[in-house]
Amino acid sequence: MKHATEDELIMAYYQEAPDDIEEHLNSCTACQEELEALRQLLDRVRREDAVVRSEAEVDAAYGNRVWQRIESRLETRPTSGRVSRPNPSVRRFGWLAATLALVLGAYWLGRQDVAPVEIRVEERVQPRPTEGPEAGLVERSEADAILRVALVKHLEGSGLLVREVHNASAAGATDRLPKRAERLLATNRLLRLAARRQDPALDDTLQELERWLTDVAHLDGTSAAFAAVRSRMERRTLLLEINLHLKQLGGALPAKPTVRSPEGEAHVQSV
Amino acid sequence: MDLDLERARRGDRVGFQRLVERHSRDVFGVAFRLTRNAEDADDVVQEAFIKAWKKLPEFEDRASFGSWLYRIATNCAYDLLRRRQRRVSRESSYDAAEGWVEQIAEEQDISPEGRLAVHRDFHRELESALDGLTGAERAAFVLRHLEERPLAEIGELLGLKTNAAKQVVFRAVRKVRTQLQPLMEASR
Repeated sequence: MKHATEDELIMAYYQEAPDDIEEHLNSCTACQEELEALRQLLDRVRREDAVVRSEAEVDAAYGNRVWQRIESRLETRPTSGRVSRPNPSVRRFGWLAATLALVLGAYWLGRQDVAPVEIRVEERVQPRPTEGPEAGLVERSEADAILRVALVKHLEGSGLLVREVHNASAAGATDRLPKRAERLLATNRLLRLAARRQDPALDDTLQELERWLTDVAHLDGTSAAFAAVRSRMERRTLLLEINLHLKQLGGALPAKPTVRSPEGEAHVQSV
Repeated sequence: MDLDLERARRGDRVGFQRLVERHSRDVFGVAFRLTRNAEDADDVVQEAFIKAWKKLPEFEDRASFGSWLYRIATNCAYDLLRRRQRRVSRESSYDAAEGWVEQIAEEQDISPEGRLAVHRDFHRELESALDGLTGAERAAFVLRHLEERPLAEIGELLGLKTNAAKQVVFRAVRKVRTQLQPLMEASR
């Protein structure tokens, strides 16, 4: 009989080999040696995993910390288990109303955080055909234009916060940054709902931004929490991602972070 | 019936909070195994509970909440692996590994320094091998080899038929073996 293949040896390791392979392994020294070598390697991977896992043990209060972080992100659910579904005609046009509501809500929230800018949506919108196949498309382009403006506002405000966190100290970061992060968080959630179908890359960035903003909102003045916030934004080069999306959306790019030296000179920093 | 679960299903946040507090550590465990990174694992835990909250009305009594949550967390981690194929340095775990190296010191006849060096090489190569796997291969390998899940369940989690899941496990093991075998031979 032929020797066992590598896949058959793997099956034997996991005790899933067919009977004929098991019989062969019982009588073939060469295959037994191969299986033993595989066993040693895979067993060692398990031991290595045990070491890595023991390093990553979390304490008993971890569940409570998770709750603190997710509580504000949980959607309100109806108290009964049944969820009603809108009829098809409502669903057909519902997305537009929902998008507009979300975007306007997000824009309103965004105004709480950064100075308002002039919105020139009307410049991008052509006279609206009241009938014919293009009528719906124009409505959609209006919604897209409003969404774009709200996204630009939000990303600019978020970029600003990233820069400020970069320049802040652990103690100073708790003064006002958590409150601003909370407001941006609310905007971020609304914009994610509106943008997620249109641009997966943007959705990914907004998702990461949401996690980062959540961490900033929960800064407690400890250097560990602040270091984690800094580490997260540097790990994902958050400002770079924000700038890329701003560029695509046609928004202004936030300036690079600056740090003031004791003499008062500003230095450009990379994040 | 779990009272916290029943309350959470009805939309009660306090009930859900208790579930979060009870299950977070277990979810972190599987998330860490899949992502090999504490920050990513933490993200997965949060995403998993947020998804669980949304899906709770669909949860069926016949399943255990822990198993159901495990599946959600695995899917979140798998999504993250697919999105982020990146290499992560794990130098910090070398120190933690030293205790284990001492423990197995008696089993081999090389110096303690030599053993630690071999272990570090193995650790580095293992991380590198896992980083070299696709998201599906890595998830399948971790679930089969470290979580010891049956192939049918792995297939279900990855959206594959059982036989396809088995092939993914084979492929992952072959890749890991190819990378680690030279080290194993060198340490003999």
